Amino acid sequence: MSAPAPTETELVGDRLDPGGIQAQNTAQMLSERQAIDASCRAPVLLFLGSSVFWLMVGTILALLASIKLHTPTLHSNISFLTFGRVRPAHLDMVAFGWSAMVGLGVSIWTVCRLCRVPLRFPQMIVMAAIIWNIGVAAGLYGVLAGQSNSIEWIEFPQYATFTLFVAFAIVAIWTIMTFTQRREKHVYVSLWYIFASMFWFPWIYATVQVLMNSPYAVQGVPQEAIHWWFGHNTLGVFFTPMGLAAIYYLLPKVIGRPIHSYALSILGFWSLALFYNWAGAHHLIAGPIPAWLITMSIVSSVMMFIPVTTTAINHHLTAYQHLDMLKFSPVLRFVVFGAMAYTLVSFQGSMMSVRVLNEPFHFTHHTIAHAHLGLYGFYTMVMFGAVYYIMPRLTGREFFSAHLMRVHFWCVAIGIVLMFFTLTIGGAIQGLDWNQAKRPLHDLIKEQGFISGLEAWFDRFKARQDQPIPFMTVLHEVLPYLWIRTFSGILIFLGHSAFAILVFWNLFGGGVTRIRTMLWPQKVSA
Amino acid sequence: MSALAYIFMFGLMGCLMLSVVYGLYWAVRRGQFSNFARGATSIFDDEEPQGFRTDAFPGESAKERKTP
Amino acid sequence: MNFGPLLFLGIFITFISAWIGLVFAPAASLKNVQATVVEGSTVANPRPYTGQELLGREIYQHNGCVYCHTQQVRGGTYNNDLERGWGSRRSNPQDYIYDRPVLLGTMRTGPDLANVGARLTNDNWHFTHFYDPQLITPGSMMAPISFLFELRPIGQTPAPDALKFNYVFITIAGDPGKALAELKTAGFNLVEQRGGRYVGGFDPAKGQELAKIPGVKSVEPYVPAGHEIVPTEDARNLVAYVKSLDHSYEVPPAANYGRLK
Repeated sequence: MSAPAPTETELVGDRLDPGGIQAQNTAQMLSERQAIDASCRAPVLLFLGSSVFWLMVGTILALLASIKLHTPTLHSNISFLTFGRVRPAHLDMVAFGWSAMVGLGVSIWTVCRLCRVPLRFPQMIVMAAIIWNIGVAAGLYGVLAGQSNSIEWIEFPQYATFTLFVAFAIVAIWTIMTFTQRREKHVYVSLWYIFASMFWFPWIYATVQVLMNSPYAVQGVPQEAIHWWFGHNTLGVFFTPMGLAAIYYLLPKVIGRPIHSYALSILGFWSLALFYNWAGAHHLIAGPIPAWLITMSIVSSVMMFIPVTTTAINHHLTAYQHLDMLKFSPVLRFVVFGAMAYTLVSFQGSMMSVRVLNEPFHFTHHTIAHAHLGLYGFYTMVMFGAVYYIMPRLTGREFFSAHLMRVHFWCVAIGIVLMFFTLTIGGAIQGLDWNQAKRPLHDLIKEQGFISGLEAWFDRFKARQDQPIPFMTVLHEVLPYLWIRTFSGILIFLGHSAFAILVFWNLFGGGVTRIRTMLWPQKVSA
Repeated sequence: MSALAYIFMFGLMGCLMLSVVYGLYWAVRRGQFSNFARGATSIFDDEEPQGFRTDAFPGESAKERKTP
Repeated sequence: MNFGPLLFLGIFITFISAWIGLVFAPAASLKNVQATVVEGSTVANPRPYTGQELLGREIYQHNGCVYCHTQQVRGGTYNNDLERGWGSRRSNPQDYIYDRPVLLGTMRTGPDLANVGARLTNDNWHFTHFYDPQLITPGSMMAPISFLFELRPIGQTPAPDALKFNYVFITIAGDPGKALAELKTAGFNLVEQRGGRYVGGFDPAKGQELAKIPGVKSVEPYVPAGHEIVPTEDARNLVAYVKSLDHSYEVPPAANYGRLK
């Protein structure tokens, strides 16, 4: 664990031409890079550290909510621990506490790297991080104290919302200021994505606040069209671009090769901007909303195949020839896992928006599985990788335990895969038994065995019955899947605990001071 | 929906549309779309050049370096 | 890349179009939806909420009922909402004109509530159900919201709105099957087993009759002796709101959407 610090000769041995012209250039660049990382130190670490704290809060709330779904009477006499408050608190903590903060921290560092300028005006970013933390804490208090407005994704009371908005505005203004002072002429694709999210998020957030949660709210069901235009775009034009920006930077950087097709990445960006924005109303399929709107959203959801395919080609062909590195690089593990989950979740999302699948699966745990694969399997995994890449470069210390990093990876990877498949299958059974099947699948399997039971279940589908399977029967049929989900939640909690220990240990001075992997790249043997 | 909300939304929409059109104009003028192959390598430099990997588990880089 | 600028300008304009399509167009086209009076009636439906119902709606929002209950009867081709008796017709934009915010919901851990006020009208049913859902629906996955009620010693006179809890807990020694059969004959209406005790419907005042049955070790009333359970203001408002959820009124034929064929 505590290898001796490398000597000067060892370090020089890594270079292409020791003592030559390149070495001199390297020495100069080194100081520039060090200057960038040093300038990011306080503000970005503040963002990353806070985000990990909120991640732990969100994880505990998630575990509580998961248990309450199969054991509803647990602590039900305590008002702030009731399911209807814990569940939105979980969502808001992982969305605005963890995902937004870690995404902003990673994006700020990426902007500095890509613009090749040290972080100017660090006070602005520190201020933004503090205000954002206040906003999230106020929001958590508001939701648990019973001031939530029950509009999914914007449950925070208005004082918290406003605080977040101020903090976000500071970061957005800072981004533009940094951009204008950049030294790198080319605008890399990651910067496109980051700028897009910086512009789009305030737009959608302001729109939904004014039109749904203010005295100027629109009347009636158009609210819901706006709500899901926002809800879907929070994922689509805020979190997804930040996650993709991190992949597009980290993947080639870690491997040491440019991405497969840069032109495709630009095409992917613009087609995402076009189609994702239209996709929101597929949350309201068969609801009290004009049908043309929903059809439009289904079409553009299916058209999401274009940006997803381009992105998938790029990510996977870039990573494909360097899969051996997964063994050695923790960052690559998380990022490649995230890229694979992105491809899977996006194709699944397109399929799920089609009416024949959406109508039965909507309102079941199938949707919950999809949401977790997106925001967790893709976004959060990529951000784990980004934190592992960035933190040692900012603190100047390696993480103290490679074992704990492996524990983290395997716990969360197994946890999310288990959760996804459990809830996908459970939700599909739930939806089809509620809406289409003549008899519950579990009864058929008990009577006829697994294979023929499954066959009989599929055989007996019909558009609708006069006597649907009782609601409660189906609800109890799903319970075993919810227990497995809680188990997967415990795995994820263990993984997060390992992650939090690594991060805070590093933050507060633990870990070996080494510079090799951080500043001295390894030659690719191929 | 009140008139004020309409004005607010249209104002916001107009500003954003103008800004994105300007962004596009700027990108084309500066040749951001002219040479994709070079753009892809803009993240590498002399210190972290192409062909060098920049991440490994802590304490394991030395071991990895010996792998042929 | 000569046609590049044109292409990208097109994409930008389409991007803005999403805002017009998903935000502006529905708001503009549905802004004049109003309550209607059908032929042969003098009442405009839906009616605005009363003050108490609006306060109850806030309790509904604050405690996150929306995370398990939807308020929409869907009319698509592949779902069973109408067959479940959740409504006589598909939900309609008109049903939501007084809702701020609209709480359509995204999850059905519990049944749809768009017309719950038409199905369940008894106050005491609702209070008991909120206090202890599993008493009314054994096996229910609903979280009790007993924190909206007050369990307190009875003062000089019992509160007029104290809940009527005709439930007792029974502890059985020995073979439960035989004792339960006899309890059933005596009028005990078993609900479920809770931590070694059996809870079920029976008048607690006559509880000692059950204690005489062989095998029955003890009989305790659900509400401890000398105590009463009183709904708070919030609970009463919530029940008023839930009972107001009734969209089973008739709408003009042009707005009466059934199932999509």
